[in-house]
Amino acid sequence: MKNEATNILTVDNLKLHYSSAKGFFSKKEIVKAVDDISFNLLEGETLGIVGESGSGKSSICRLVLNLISKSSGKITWFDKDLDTFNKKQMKEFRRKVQIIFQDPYGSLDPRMTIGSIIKEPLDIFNKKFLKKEKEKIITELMNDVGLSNELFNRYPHELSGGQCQRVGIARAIINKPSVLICDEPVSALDLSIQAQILDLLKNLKNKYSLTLVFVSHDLSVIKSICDNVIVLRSGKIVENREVNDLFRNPENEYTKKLISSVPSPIPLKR
Amino acid sequence: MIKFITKRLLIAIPTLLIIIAFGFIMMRVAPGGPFTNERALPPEIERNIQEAYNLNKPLYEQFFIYIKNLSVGDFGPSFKYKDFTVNELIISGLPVSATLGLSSIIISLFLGSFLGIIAAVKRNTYFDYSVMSVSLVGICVPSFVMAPILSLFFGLYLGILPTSGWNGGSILNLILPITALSLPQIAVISRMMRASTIEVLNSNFIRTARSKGLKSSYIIRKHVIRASILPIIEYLAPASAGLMTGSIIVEQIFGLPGIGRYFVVGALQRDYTLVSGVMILYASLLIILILITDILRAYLDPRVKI
Repeated sequence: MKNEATNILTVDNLKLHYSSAKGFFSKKEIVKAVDDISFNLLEGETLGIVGESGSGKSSICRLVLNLISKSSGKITWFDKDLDTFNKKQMKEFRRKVQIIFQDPYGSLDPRMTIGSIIKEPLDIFNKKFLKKEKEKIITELMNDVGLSNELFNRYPHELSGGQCQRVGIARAIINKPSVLICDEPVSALDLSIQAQILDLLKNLKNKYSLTLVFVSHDLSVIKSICDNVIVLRSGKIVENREVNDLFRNPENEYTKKLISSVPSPIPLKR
Repeated sequence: MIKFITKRLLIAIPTLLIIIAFGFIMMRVAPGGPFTNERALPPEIERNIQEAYNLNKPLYEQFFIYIKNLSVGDFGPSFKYKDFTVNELIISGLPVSATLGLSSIIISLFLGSFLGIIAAVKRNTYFDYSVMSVSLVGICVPSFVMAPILSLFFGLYLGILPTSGWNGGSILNLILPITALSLPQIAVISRMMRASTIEVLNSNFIRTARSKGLKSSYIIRKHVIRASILPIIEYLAPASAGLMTGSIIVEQIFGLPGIGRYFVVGALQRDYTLVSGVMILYASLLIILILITDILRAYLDPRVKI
């Protein structure tokens, strides 16, 4: 069924290398944060990216969004190379592809109210909207993500982590993007809030027909939300398969280890 | 807000009293007095002078007389500038020093933070390197070197600006001293601003702003400056208190009738009342500026509660 969907984002041989010297006299070492990665993103799917810390998950997200520059490789958005985009096209791309960050609190400007944080993307992309229309859109959106409207004039430090992440989600989807990249959106939250946010993302995906890229180090989270999964290890793709298939018969040793390391709700008897 | 300000001003009163008492004791402990001369005065004359200035009374009594006069705004007569009260000296000199100091602090704030922000945005480019190396020179060259050079070059060689004098506060006369006062401040502020801007640019919420699709000029204006200006604001309070009460070096070189020299001259000549007067002025100015800083900080950062 997935084969018929349109391919909206293609990543070819993406690389991100840092050179770092450990000491003043020592030789420079090349750190391969992302090493020769290729994958496709199909419309409407939820693509999971899983891997341990430092495996390059977040780097891939930022590279795809052009928030950091790549060392080499090619990213294509609807058959157009991202490198050839001019400023206007880049702005439109940023509108279409949005991201939710891992750190819900630090990702919000501490000097802005919740209302203005959510409103800001609306201000720059839809200048023609009247103030009242904007307020209506924001109020509806805040309801959609489960934020009370009383929070409109509050500051991020007055909110809980889960509420901050909801603000992050609201500001990401306010301009109706087609792709939403979730860079470990729940890893900083406790388990009950995690479940709420995951539910919220699933609902929003249906309501706004989003394509999700879901990054996590937690396989149980991936299993609950994703269609396809990419398993990463030190910047390289280990496996890229359909999710149930992957959990049923993992091919790679590393994947097996990851799956067996998921804590089970029923403790094993010794 | 009003409660906060009143509270802070009430706290300022005991602070000032301690400063006054400390200054009073320090000056009296220092050897010599305002009327100690190389040639000893006849005892009768000395006694008369001592009596006129209440110097023959016990210290605590002198202190209470001084505080009593202060409470009605009287700083007392100057011991060395005959026929002048300290009030008159400050009133005639403060406008000069304050004009210079205020203009130079405003100029350095704008120019310094502007240069610092651009250097941070274009970091590790030639613009950054040149601004930072010039500002290093600005910090290293002291004003007693910079001021004569400016005066010599623009006043004597080019002859376009007057070398010295107040001239009723005409703008031409102000340019050189303000420049001499501002250069080191611009240097310090631009370096501080560069460092704090770089830090803010690397923070997570700026990444969010970029991913929203905002233009970088907009991000700088709306998100970065408000955060990166904070350390500058903190620095500004003591710096402007210092600048507004005058710099003896710049005022002497450019022949300006400010109050900067009273700090040094008053202390050297044991002019008790004059030193106390300018010290109280400086302390009150500093207290007020720090209060303003705290209010500004709460305005710039909603996490700070006042």
